[in-house]
Amino acid sequence: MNQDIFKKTVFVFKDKMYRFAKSMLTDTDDAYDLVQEVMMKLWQMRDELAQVTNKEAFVIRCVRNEAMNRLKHAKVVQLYQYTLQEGVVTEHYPALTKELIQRLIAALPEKQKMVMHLRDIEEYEIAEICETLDLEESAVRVNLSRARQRVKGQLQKIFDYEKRQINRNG
Amino acid sequence: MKKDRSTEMDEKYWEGISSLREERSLKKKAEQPYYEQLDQLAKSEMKWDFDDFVQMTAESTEKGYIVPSKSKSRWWVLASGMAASLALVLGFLFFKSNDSEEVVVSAAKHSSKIPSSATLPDAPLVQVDVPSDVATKNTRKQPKKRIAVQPQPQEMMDDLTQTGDDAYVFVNGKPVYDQEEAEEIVLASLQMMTANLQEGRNALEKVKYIQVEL
Repeated sequence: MNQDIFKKTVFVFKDKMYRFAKSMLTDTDDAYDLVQEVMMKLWQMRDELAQVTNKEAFVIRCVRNEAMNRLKHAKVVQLYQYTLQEGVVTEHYPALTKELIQRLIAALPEKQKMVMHLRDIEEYEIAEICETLDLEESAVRVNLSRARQRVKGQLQKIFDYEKRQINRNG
Repeated sequence: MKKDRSTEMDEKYWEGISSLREERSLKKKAEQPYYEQLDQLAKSEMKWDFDDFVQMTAESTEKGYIVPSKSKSRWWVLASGMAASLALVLGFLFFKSNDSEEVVVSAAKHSSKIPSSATLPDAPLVQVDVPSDVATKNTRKQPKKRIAVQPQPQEMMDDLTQTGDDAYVFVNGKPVYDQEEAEEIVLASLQMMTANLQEGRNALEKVKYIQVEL
């Protein structure tokens, strides 16, 4: 596999890889580093990669594995939970920004987070999610449903709290 | 009616049973900020050009930094495991053989006074284990002949005065000036090393699995 083919068949997924990494790690710099590292590894194994039929699913799986390895580090997990609490719980009047939604998705359990990201951000079909994450269709559907319910619950909590604060002050 | 359709799609979305087409429709209409923000998230890009990536690959090659593929890394672990176990076996055998071949050099060697023959019996003996047959395959397993050599005054004098520049070999820091003796020592050492290597190789064949963490 030469540079040109690599660019057209693998490097073209860098944005998807980056968004997926960011949804898992939350930190943009970490996500950037992770994608660069994974891309370098993919380049090193470009000859083997030529035989992979679904390269998109493959590269996303690579990002997932690398991100999961990094998340295993206790300090990273603690920092991530701390920033999440600060951002969501103690914020008084949060706007419904993409950052807030991103934080809510990032706070989900791993499977729910990955499934919701691939569906709602990358617009994957259920079958594609099954292939990418190596999950059964029923598991994908259950995780998607629970993830959305959880995000909805969080949004309601935040905005009900906001309404109460406004009514109290008014 | 239109509003009802949107509400229905919205409910289906939160239940996780909406189709991709319906979800795209919700994002497109942008009636609710949530879907609008989801659409915005999908547009997030990584600022990284392919030229920069090519530059990185070139630099990594120049620095000799190669990210190993899975198969190569397994080979490397196996090779280092074998090397480490070989080193362990050889090291063990080396120390074990050193125990039996230790040459005790007289402390009097370091004395400026040359002891008289009357004082010699008190001086420690120089003990040398010499393999009985240096030509055998495994010298370590052969019975050894222990020779006790009492240092002669002249030898001790030589030890103290000669610099060792003219010595053929050194045994435990002691120079050997006799050519024939040196040849024998070298031959015996080489035989011993061959035997140890053979033993190490045999021991390695019994190793089925080894994991080395650096």
